[in-house]
Parts: sequence; structure tokens; C-alpha cells
Amino acid sequence: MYKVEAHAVSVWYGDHQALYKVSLQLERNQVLALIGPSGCGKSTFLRLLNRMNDFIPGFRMEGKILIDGEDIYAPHVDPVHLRRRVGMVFQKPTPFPFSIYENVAYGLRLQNRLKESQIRERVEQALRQAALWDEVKDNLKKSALALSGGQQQRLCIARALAVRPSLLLMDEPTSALDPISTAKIEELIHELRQTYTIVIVTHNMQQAARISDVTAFFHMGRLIECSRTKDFFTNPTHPETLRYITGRFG
Amino acid sequence: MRDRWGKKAFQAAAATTILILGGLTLFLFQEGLPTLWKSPYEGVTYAVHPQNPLPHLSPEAVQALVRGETTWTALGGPEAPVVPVYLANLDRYVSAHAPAPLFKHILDSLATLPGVLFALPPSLLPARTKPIDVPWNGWKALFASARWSPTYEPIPSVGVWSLLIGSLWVSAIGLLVVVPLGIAMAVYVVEFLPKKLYYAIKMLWEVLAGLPSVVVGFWGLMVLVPWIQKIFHLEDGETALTAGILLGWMTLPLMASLVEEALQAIPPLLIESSYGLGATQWQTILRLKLPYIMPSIFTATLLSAGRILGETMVVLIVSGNAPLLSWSPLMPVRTLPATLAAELGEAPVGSYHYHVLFFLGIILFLITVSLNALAYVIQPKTRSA
Repeated sequence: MYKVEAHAVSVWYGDHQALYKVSLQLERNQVLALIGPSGCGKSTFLRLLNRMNDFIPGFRMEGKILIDGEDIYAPHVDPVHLRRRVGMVFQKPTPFPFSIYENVAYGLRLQNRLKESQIRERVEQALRQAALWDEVKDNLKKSALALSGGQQQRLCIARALAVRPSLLLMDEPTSALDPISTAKIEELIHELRQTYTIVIVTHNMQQAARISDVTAFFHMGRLIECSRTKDFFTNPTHPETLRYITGRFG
Repeated sequence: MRDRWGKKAFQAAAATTILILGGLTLFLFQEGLPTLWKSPYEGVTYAVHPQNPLPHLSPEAVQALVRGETTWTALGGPEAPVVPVYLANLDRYVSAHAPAPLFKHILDSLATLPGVLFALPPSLLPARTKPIDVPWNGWKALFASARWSPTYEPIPSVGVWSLLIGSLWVSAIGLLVVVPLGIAMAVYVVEFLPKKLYYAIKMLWEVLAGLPSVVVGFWGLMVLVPWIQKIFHLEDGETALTAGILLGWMTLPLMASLVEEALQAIPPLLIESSYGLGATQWQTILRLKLPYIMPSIFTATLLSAGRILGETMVVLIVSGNAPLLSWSPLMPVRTLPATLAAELGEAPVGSYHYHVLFFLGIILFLITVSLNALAYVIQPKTRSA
């Protein structure tokens, strides 16, 4: 069974059609990179996977998206429960104005099922997974806003991981970071692949080549090509893809 | 060229504003501060019977003697009934139209009574009397007493505490009404109101905010006062509670729009982050949005408090206007601005009463200025996320 399957997904925002019959499959514990020029629909596709588009007025979709074989747009699915299984990291660090500890515990407290000792454990575990524990373990009470940009983004990853999702969505997670912080996050993605399936939107083709197993190229709302990253960059089948990865447009 | 004109115009406007505000403030202090060193009986001499052994009297003792609340004996004076004689009660003894010799004769015979207490201009004072010192302490009169009766003769009571506490009651109740309602209203508008209704509601707010306060006060008098009377089985529904509720309502548009602005200013990515972690709408409101805008809520509360404290017309109409020390919100109160509005027209310019009212103005000015300054100092710094 695939981790994520999209079957002929089309999306409209009001009258504007943002995606045209996109179909793809992603296997467990793989990293899928979504690339393409601005406005190509890659972020729209990413946000379909945790139903974040539901908030946008005029949003409408056709087709089917299955996660672990379950249709996530079926009427009985509660998007709140879906989002606990599908974590998300955004294009800018979005720490809440609380302490580091409370940031990571935020998602855990929402469910009201865990004792404080269990929350402590999960917070530490998530911070270790996000390679932030050693830097903040003595300052868990400190405001998250006092961290550097790169640390804040790793905190946001820890926050997403704390609720133990099985799928992690990343929307250009390094676009606001310096090269060193970017390298750290990329290293982290490499580690996380052992446990999680990851879908990442990136503007940066080198990044896609470095970190992903599968790459999908979107253009004008259509999925042009989706293949193993090795093949994608060395031997693209579609002329549009070739033009994009050689930098002739985008 | 245009820039230079723009700059000049701005400078002129700023200078005018500062001049007007500075002038007004200066005037307020110039008229109010003399309260601290002037005495309410300038030009009046106190005198007693020559055999009266008391060296001096406190203003409170004079008041008590005149009111009949104490006797000469209790103060260590002669064993005789108190006979107060002052300008406002002279006609009890002699008509103002009496011929001068008769007038003088009657005053002289009053002076032979051992219990007499004169408070008259020196020109009217009979010869065979002993002047007595009545030392006046402005600070003590203002702050060591809670009695407010600023035109009482021969010595007024100008204790500000009943007015301060009246203002405090009304503001506290007003804030208790406006803060929760304002937050609830802002949350409703931002989170649940369909976008199409948003502008209609906003317009309604503006109308509500622009309603003349005398209209609000009249509505309060006709509708709210009878309700309060009925609900709490009072003799009179004009209480601190009535005024507070009404002022809370009046301040609602201000409070709600400040909180609404703060809610709208939360970075959308932050909100999405909360939803992305599996938060429901209510969880996002209660656990992220309200904590996030807490500094703004605090600022909005301070600004609302300033607004409530300064409001005059409504409290004048529905608070009962009794300058009493109230220990219950169900008692009538008088606030600082209501006192100013009610009494300033009747106080002769330059009289002690006039200066005291300006002193109340200074107190009000200092309170509202410090509330606004505090709101400015702690206003939330723009945060990025």
C-alpha cells in the first residue's frame, strides 16, 4: 500500500483552477520533493494533504487523495484528526510566543490525554529528533522567540514531530534561513526519513536533488513529471522538465 | 518643494496642538493648585467671647459646633450654648435691610453671649470680641476627609475620597462589563461572522460609538434604572452599578475594535501552525490567539478605563449623584467628572469652591494621562513570525 496516493485531483479557488487532474503515488519512508515555478500549484498540492486548503474561501476539489489507503476527503473524516497524523512545517519559522517547552507541548496538550510526565518525555524526544535538544535543554523555559531563525525552524519541526505524525509536510522550510541553518535542516530531513514519510516543497532544485527520493515537477497546475530523483535530474523524459532544470525558465 | 510644504504644515499643526494642549494644561494647574495654599475663609475673621479660653479651633471643630455635633464644653470652652454668627446666617438675627445703627447694636449684643462664634469680615466684627485662630491645611482638607459639601457655611468640606471612590466603583464595574464583552464581540466578529455581515456590524459599531452620551444617559434613566431598581429591590435604581453597566456598553465599540485589530494582526502562518498541529478552532482561539494578543488586551483595557473615567454626562444622569462613601455598588455615587459638570457652573470664579473643582480636574487629568501613558509604554512591540 502506498503512503500517499492522489487520483486525478483538480482544485479550484473560486473560478480559478489551480490543479489539473494530478495523480501520483508515494511509498512509505520516502522523501518527495515538489518543485516548479511560483504559482505552479505545488503548495496547493502540499496543503491538500492535511486539508489546510479547507480554510480558503471558494476552495473546491475533485478526485481522491488517500493516505494509508484512507480517503481523507471522505465526509466522515475530521480534518482535526487528520492533522494530528499529518504534521506541517511552514516557509518561515512560526514559533508561538511561549517558552520552548510550551511550544513543543502545544500539540500534545490539545488532546488532553497525557500526564505532565509523559508530555515531558515526548517534548525531550521530539527536541532530540529535531537535533535541538543539546542546544536548548538548559533553557526550556526561555521564550522561543529568543532562538535564532534556524533554531526556531527546528523547534517548529520538533513541535510537529511531538504529536507523532506519520507524514510530514514541509512548505519551503529553508527559504528564510541562512546556508548553515539550511544544511542542518537538510541533514535533519535525511535522519527523519528513517521514521517518517516526507513531502517537501522547495524552490531550490539542488536541495531537491540532495534530499529527495522522488521529485515531482509542477507547471501551470499540471504535474509534468514525477520520477525517482536520480532519473529526474539526469534523464528527464519531458522537454518542459529539461528546460526547467537547466534554468531556461522559472 | 511639496515635501517642504508638507513638513512646514506638519510643524505648524504640531506647534498649534502643543500650544493649545499646553495652554489648557497650564490653565488647569494655574486654577487648581492654589487649592493647596488658599483657605476657604479668606477675608473672614473668626472671633469668640473674650472670656472664651480656647486659643484656637480646628476647621472640623468649627463645623461640628455649627452643626450642633459638639458643644463648647466638650472642646474645653465655656458652659454656654453655641451661637454661630456668619454671613450666610446673619439674617437669622437681623435683616440685611435694617438701618446701620440697629445692625451694629444687634451684633454688639450677640457679642456679649459667652457661647458666641463669629465668622465675619473684620469690618462687621463687634469690638469687644477675641479673634481666634482657625488654621487651615489644604492637603488635610482634601485627603483626610471623605465629606464633600464644598459650599457649606462657614467652612466647606472638600474631602475627595467619596468622589474618587465613586469614580473607582463606576470604572471597575464598567471594565467588568466592557472587557469580557469586548473580547467576546471581537472574537465573534473575527471568527464566526460571515464576511458579508462584517461591514454591516462595523457600521453599527461606529453608530453606537457616535451616539451622543446624553441620549445613552436618557435611555439608561428610562430603561436601565427601573430594571436595576426592580431586580435588586432598591428604593432608587440610580446606583454605581447602573452607571458602570451603561459606561461599559458605551465603551464597547472602542474595546471591541482594539481587540479585533489585534486579532486580525496575528500572522496567518501562526494560526495555520496551530491548526496544523490538530487544534480545533476554539483551541486555537483560547490557546494561541488570546494569549498572543494579551498585551493588546491589556492596552485596550487601560484605554477603555481612561474613557470610562472621563465620561461625564451618563454618570451625571444615572449614578444618583450622591457624594457619599459607597461600600456597595448598589449605592448612589458621584464621580469626579460629574462633580465638575454639576458644580463648576455655580462656583464663583476665584472662589475656594472654584479652585477645588479645578483641583479635581487636576486629579482626573493625572489619572487619565498616566493610564494612557501606561498603555503607550506597554503597547505590544510588533512581532514577526
